Amino acid sequence: MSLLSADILHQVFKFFVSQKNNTVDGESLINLTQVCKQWKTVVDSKSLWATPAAGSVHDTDTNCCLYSVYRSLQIKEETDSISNGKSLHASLIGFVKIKCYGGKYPELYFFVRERATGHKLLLSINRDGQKRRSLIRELYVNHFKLKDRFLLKEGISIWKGRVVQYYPLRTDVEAKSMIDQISAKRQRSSQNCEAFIIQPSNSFNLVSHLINLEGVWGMDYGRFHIQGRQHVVDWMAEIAECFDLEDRIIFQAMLLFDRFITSNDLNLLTHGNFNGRNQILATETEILKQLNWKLAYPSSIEFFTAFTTILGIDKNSQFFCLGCYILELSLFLDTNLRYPPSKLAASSIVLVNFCLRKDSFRTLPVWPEELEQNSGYQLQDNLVSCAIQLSKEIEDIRIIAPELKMVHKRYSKPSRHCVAEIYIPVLTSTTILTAYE
Amino acid sequence: MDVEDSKETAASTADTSSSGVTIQLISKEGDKFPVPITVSNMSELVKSMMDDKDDDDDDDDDEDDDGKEKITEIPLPNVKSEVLKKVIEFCEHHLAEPMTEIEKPLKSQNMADVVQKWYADFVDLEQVLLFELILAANYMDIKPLLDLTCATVASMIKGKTPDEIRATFNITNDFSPEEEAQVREENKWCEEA
Repeated sequence: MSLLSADILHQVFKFFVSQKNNTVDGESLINLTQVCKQWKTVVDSKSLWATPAAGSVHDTDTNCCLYSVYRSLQIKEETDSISNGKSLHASLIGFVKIKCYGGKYPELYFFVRERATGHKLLLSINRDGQKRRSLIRELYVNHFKLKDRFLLKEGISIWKGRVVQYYPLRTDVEAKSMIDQISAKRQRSSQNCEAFIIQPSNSFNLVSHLINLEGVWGMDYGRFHIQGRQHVVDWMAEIAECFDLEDRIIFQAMLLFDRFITSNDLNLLTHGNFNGRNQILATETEILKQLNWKLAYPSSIEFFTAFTTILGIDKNSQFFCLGCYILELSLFLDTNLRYPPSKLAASSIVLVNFCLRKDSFRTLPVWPEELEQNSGYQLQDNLVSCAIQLSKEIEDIRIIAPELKMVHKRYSKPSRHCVAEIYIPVLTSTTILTAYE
Repeated sequence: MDVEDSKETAASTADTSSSGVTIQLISKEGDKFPVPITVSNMSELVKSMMDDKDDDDDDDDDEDDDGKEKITEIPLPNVKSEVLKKVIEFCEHHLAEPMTEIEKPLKSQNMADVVQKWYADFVDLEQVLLFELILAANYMDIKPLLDLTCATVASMIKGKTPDEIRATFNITNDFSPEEEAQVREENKWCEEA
C-alpha cells in the first residue's frame, strides 16, 4: 500500500464520504484513522470534508454526522487567553452562536474539552484571519445542515438585540452557565445593537397576506421558456419609460401576460392589426374573461417593497434601487416563470445583500431573521435554489442580451444610484449557506 | 440487471464498427497497442497529447498531407504492457456499456452490489495489479477507471478492523502506544455521543 500516495488514498477514502448529501460511513472512517499516520492525515485533511453542495441529511446515522462535524473542526487556534496562544488539543462538546445585529457576523463559541487536562473551555474564534474563516465556515456548513438531526435541544432567547442560540451536546447545565458568562461579558462592551430591530407591525400582516394571496391563486410555476417573451418585456419597459409609469406596472403586466399565455398562445395578441376601438375592447374583454377577472395578483416588486419596509430600508436607497433592478432583470429570465414572486423577491434580497456586502452600511445577515419569521421562508430550505438560479441567469443575460438596453438605461441614472453598474456575483450554495444566513 | 446484460452484447458490435483513425499506444516495454481513437480518447492524457500533436503537424508541413491512415504513436513510459492491456480492455468496454456511477458512501463490501457485473469481474485482480491499474488510471487521467479501482480498494477496507486493514495491505503500524491511545480517545468522543 506504500505504493499509493496521499493523493490516491484521498481518492479511495472519498468512497466513505458523500459530498452530495453530507453522509459519511463513520465506522469505516474511525477505523481508517487507526491504521497508520499517513492514513490519519488523509482522513483529517480538510479537502476530504469539504461540503460544496446543499442537500438534506438523510439515511444517516447520527454518530456519523457528529463525526463529520468533529472532524471538520480541528481546533488548533483560539483567541481566549486560557491557552496563551499555544495550540490546543480538544474535543468539541458543543457550540454557541450569538448573532448580533450591530455586528457584522454572528459570533461562534466552541465549548470544548481539553484532552490533556480534561478541562472544559469556551473558545471564541473571530472572523478576522483567513485561516480562521475557513475553519468556521466548515463547521458552520456542517452545523447548518445537521442541526435538525443531532441537536438534542435548542434554546433560543433574545438578549439585548442578539439572538442567542445555544446548542447543548452534553449537559444543559454546563452550557447554560456558559451562556450566562458570555452574556455578562458582552453586556459591558455593547450598547449599539438595538438599533436594527425596528419592526413596523403593519408590514407583518402585509407579507403574510400577500403570501396567502399567492397561495390562494395557486399559479402554476412549472412552466418553462416561452419564445419571444423577452421582447414583450423589453417592449413594456419601453412603454413604461415613455409614459413615465410606475415600475410596478411592468411587473403586473407581465404577470397578466404570463397567466394569459399559459392558457392561450401568442398569436391571439400578435396576429392581427387592431383597427378600431371596438376590436381593442373586444380583445380586452377576451383577456379579462380568460383571467377570470382576477387582476391584482401580488408581483415580486410588491413583496420586495413589503420586505424592505420591514427592514426599514428607504425607497431612495441604493439597496432598494438595486433590488428593483435585479427584479426587473428577472422579468427576462426563466427563473421568473419557475418560482413564485414571493420567493423571487426574497432571493433578490439575498442577492442584493451579497452585492453590497463590502459596504459598511450593510450589516444585516443575507436573509434577515425578521423576514424569515414573516415570510416563513428559510434560507436553506426555500431560497437557495432560487437565488442561485437567479444570479446565474442574471450573469448570463447581462453578457449576451441586447434587449437589456432599456433596463440598463433606466437604472444607470444617478437618481437610481447607477445600480446597473454594480457587479452582481454568481452565487453557489456554499457561498450562500456560509454567509451566516 | 437484465437491461445491463443486453447492453453487454452490443459491446462486440461496437468494436468492429468503429473505424477511422488508429492510435498506437506504446507501453513501458515498448510493445505497441493499436487502438481506435475513440478508445484512446477516454484518457485525458492521450487526448491532450493528440491535440498537441495536431498543432505541431500544422506547423511543420514536411509530411505528405493526403496520407489517409496516419498512425500516431503515443509513448506511455509509466505503464507496463500487462497494465496497459487491462486499461484498453476497460476503455473498450466502457464505450459499449458505460459504467454506472458508484454511490457514496460505498454501501457494500462486494463490488457486484455497487456496479455492473462486468466491471466487478474486471477488478477482481491481484492487489499489485490493482494498484498498478490505479496508478495508470491516475497517470492517464481516466476518471471512470480511477473511480472503479479506488472504490475497489475502499470495498476491501470497508468492514475491517484497523488490524485487519493493516494485514490486508501489509502496512506497518507506525503509531506509538501513546499516540494510538490518543487517536482512540479522539474517536471515543464520536462513538459515545
